[in-house]
Amino acid sequence: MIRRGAIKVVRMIAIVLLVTLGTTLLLELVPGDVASSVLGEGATAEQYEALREELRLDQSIPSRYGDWLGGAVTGDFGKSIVPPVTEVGSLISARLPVTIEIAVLAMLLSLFAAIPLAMWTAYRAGGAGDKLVSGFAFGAISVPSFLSALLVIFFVIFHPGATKALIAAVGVMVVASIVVGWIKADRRPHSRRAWARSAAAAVAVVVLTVLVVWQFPAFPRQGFVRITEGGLASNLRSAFLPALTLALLEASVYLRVLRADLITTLDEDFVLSAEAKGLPAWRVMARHALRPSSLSLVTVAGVGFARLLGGTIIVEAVFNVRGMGDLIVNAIQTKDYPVVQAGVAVLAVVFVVMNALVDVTYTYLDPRIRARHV
Amino acid sequence: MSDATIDRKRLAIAVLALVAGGAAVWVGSALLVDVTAGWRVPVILVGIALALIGLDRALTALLRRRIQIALVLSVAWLVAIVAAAALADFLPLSESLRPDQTLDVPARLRPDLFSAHPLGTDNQGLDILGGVIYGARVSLIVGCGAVLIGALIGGLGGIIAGFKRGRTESVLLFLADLLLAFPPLILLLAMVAVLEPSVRNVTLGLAVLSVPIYLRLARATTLAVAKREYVLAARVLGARNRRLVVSEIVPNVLPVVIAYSFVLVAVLIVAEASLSYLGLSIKRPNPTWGNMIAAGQESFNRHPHLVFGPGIILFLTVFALNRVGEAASSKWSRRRR
Amino acid sequence: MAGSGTAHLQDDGDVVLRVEDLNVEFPIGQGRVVQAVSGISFDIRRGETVGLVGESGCGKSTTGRAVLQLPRPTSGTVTFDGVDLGTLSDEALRQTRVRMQMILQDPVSSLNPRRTIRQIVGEGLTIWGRQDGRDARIDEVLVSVGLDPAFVRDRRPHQFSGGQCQRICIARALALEPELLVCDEPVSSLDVSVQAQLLNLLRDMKAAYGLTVMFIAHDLAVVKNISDRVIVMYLGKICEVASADTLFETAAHPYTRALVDAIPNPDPRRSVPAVGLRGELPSPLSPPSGCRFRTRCPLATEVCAVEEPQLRAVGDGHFVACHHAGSVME
Repeated sequence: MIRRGAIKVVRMIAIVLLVTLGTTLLLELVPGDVASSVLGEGATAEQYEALREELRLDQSIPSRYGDWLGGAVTGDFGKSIVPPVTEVGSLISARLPVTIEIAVLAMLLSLFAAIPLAMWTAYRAGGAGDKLVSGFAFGAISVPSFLSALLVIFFVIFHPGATKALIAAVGVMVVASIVVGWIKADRRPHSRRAWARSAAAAVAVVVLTVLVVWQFPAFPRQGFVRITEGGLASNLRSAFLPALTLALLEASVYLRVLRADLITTLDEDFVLSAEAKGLPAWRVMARHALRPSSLSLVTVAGVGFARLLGGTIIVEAVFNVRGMGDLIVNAIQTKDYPVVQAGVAVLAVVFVVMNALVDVTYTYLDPRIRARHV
Repeated sequence: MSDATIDRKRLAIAVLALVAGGAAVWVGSALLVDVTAGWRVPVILVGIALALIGLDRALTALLRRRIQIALVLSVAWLVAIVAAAALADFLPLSESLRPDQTLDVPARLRPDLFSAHPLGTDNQGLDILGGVIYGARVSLIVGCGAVLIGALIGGLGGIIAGFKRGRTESVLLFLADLLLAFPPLILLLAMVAVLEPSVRNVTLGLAVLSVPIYLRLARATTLAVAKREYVLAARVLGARNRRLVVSEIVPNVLPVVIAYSFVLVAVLIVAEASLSYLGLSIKRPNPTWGNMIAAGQESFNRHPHLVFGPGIILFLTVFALNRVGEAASSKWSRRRR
Repeated sequence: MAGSGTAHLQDDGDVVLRVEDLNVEFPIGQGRVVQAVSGISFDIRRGETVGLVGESGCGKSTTGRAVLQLPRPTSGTVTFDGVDLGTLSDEALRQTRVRMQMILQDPVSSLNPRRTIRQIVGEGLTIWGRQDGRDARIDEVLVSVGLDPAFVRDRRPHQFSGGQCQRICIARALALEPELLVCDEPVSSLDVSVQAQLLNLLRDMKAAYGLTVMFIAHDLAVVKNISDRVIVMYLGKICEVASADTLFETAAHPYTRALVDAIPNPDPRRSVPAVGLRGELPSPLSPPSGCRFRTRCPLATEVCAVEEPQLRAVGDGHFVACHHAGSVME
C-alpha cells in the first residue's frame, strides 16, 4: 500500500513537471519571432531586446524552464509583458480563488440536485417522472455552457417573472404528484408514518416554492463580489448564476451515471434480499444501493472537476467574472505569454493534484481495492 | 374492449396531443407577438414537447410497435445538416457573408419561416440561416476532421499498446496520461494562444485532445478482445501477428471506436463553438455558430433570435450526435456480449 | 501425489507426442509465481485418444496449451513427431503447429462475431495459401461435422447455438487436416444432450481423419467414453495413468477414487461413496509439501508430507503416484 502510494506521488510529480515543461514549450510553437509578434511593428530595438530578456528567449530551453520553475516554486511567475505591468503571481492569487469558488459551488449544487433525483428516478425507473427528468438531463448535456449561461441570463435576469412562474409550476407539479400518490395509495394498506412523511414532503415543497418565488433575489448580470468587499450574501448572489449554469450540465452528467448505476444495483440479489427482509424502500436505497454506487460518482465527479475548470473559463467570459478563465482568455488575446503560461500551468497542476486525490479516495472507498493492496 | 378500440382511443389521444402541441407552437410563434419572449419561449417549448410525444404515440399506435422517434429525428437532422453544409453554395440563401451587400436589408429582422430570412437577420442585416449553414460547415469539418485524425492515431496507438503490452504499452499510456493531465479546454486555449486561429489549426488542436481519449478507449477494448478465444484460435491456425490484428482485433475494436466517435464529434463541436464564442477561433466575417452567438449577445435582450437561432441549431446538432452515439454504443456493446 | 516420474512413458510403438518434465509458471507480480503445471510427463501414440481430467485449476488446460507452445512452457520438452518444439524459431513453430489443432471450451467466444462461417472455417486455408478448391474443402468439412453448407456458409456465429458453434470450431480445425487435436473441455459449456452428440461426432471424426486426440475435461464420465487412456491431474501434477476401464474399476489413487465415486449413479442400491473429498483445492501459489493431495486425502500419513510419491506401475499400463495406493484398491 505504501509502495503503491509512493509510486503514485512520484508519478504525480513527474506529470506536474512535464505539464509545466509543456507550458514553457508553448512559446516554441509561436510561428515566427515571438518578440516581434508581441510588440508588433514600430517597436524600438531597446524594447525588442528588453522583451527578449523578459521572456528569456536568449536562453536554452532547459535553463529557461529551470529559471521559470525556480521562480514558480516561490510564487514568482515573472511580470506581465502587456501594460499595466504587474506581477503575474499576484494576478493569479487574486483570480484563482474566484474560479475555485465558482467550481466548488457548482459541484455542490449539482451533487445536491443529482443525488436525490437519481435515487428517485432509479426507484421509479420507466415512470413518467423518470422519463421527464432523464429526458431533461439528456437534453442538458447537449447544451454548451456558454449557451446555457445565456439562457440563464435571459430567463433569470431579463424575464424573472417567467422564471418565477416556471418555479411555481414545478412546485405545483411535485405537490400534485404527491397528492396523486395518496389517492392511488388509498387502495393499498398504508402506514401512518409513510403518510406523515409524504405530507411533510408536500408541505416542504410548498413552503420552499413560495419562499423562492416571493423572495426571488435580484442577481447581478455580471461581475463578481468578493466576500471581503460586499459580504457573504452579495458574494453568493454574484457567484450563483455562473455556478448554476455549470451545475445544469454537471448535475445532468451525475444524474445519468448515478441513475444507471443505481438501477443496476437495485437489480442485484443483495438489494432484493434487503427488500425481502421488509426494509422500507428509502432505506434500501440509501443504505444498500447508494453506497456501492458512490464509487462511480467519485470517479465521475473527479472527471467533472476538469469539465468545471474548463467550464468556468466560459461562464467567466459570459458573466464578466474576473477569474482565471477571464485572465487567460484576455492574456491570449493580448499575447501576454507569461500570464498564459503561468495560468495554464497553475490550472493544470490544480487538476493533476485533484485527480490524485480522487484516486486516493477511490482506493479507500472500495473495500475490494483496499483489500488487494494491504 | 378489443385491441382495435384501445388502439383507436390511443391514436385519438395521440393525435390530440400532436394537434395541441402544434397549436401551442403556432400561438407562441405567430400570435403572441406583443408578449415578451420570456413567456413565448416556454409556450413554444411545451408545444414542441407535446407535439413530439403526440407524434411518438401516434406512430406507435399506427405501426403497432415502438419506434424511437428521437433517434429517427436525430438521424434525419444529421443528414439534413450535413447535406446543407455540403451544398451551401448551391442553396437559394440570402446574403450571409458580405455585410456590404446587405445595406438595404433591415437588421435584426424577426424570424419568419416563410420569408427570405427564415431565421431572421443579424446586426448587419446578414441572413442568419445562411450564416448558420456556413457555420455548420466549419463545425462539421473541424469536429469530424479532428475525430478522424484522433481516431486514426489514437486508435492505432491503442491497438498496438493493447496487443503488444509491456514497455510499448507503458510508454504510450504515460504519454496519453500526460495529455489528459491538462484540463481539455485549457490545453486547447494554450494551443490556440500561440497558433493562428484557422480551420486547420483548430482541427489540429482538437485532434490533439482526442488522441489520448481514443488511445485509452482502443487499448481497453483491444485488451478485452485479445482475451477472446477466437484470437487464440486464429493463432493456432497459424495466423501471424499482423493477421491477428487486422482480421481479428481491428474489426471488433472498430465498432466501439465508431460509436464513441459520434459523442466525441459532439464534444468537439461544442469545444470549437466555445472557442469561437470567446473570439479565439475562426473570426468574422467567416460565420461560425460560436461567433454568431457572441455577436448576437449584445442585444439579445430585445432580439433573442440573434442568440437562440444559431443556439438551437447548435443544440439540435449536438443532441442528435449524442443520441445517435448512445444508440450505436448500446447496440454494439450488446452484440459484443 | 505428485506425479513426477516417467515410469509410464512408452518406448514402443508410434509415439507422436511426448511431453517430459513440463513446467508452466505464471508471474503474478511482486516476484511471485503461480505453478500451474509442475514437472509432468506423458506421451500419446499415433491414433490414440488420451483423456486429461482434474478439477478446474489443476493445470490441465494449461498443459494443453503448453503442448501447442501457447505460451511456451517455463521448462520441459514437448516433442511432436520427433521434433522438440522448444528449439524451434517462432516461424518454424508456426509451420509445425498447424499440424496440431485445438478446440476450445467456449464455442461462442471461439468464433469471431464479425465474420461469416465461410471466412471462419476457411481462415486456415487462407493463411496457408491453399486457395485451390478452398470453397469445396469448406463445404466438405462442414458436411462432415453435420452442418448444411448452403445454410451455414454465409451466416454469422451469433445465429447458431452453442452446439452448432462447436461443430463449426471442429470444422475449422479439421479443414487443415491436423494430426493431433487438442480438445480443451469441448463439451463442458453445452447441454448434456448436445454433449453426447458432439462426443459421437468427435469419435467419428477421429476415425475418419485418423486423428490423435488429447481430450481435456473435468468430467470423468465424459472422458471415459472417448479415451483409450486417461491421465488424472491434481494441482499441476499427475496422480494416475490408466486405461479408461481400469480407472473406473480399480482406481488406485484416492483422488481418482473420489472422482469416480462422485459420478452420479442412477442405481439406488449402490452404496454411498466411500471416500469423500474434503476442503478446497490448495493455492497453486504455495502448494503443499510432499504429496500435493495430502491436505485433502483420507489416507494421508506423515510420509506424504515429506516425500513426494513417484509414478509406479500397479498393473498392466496402470500407473499411480501414491504411497498408499494399495489400500485404496482393497
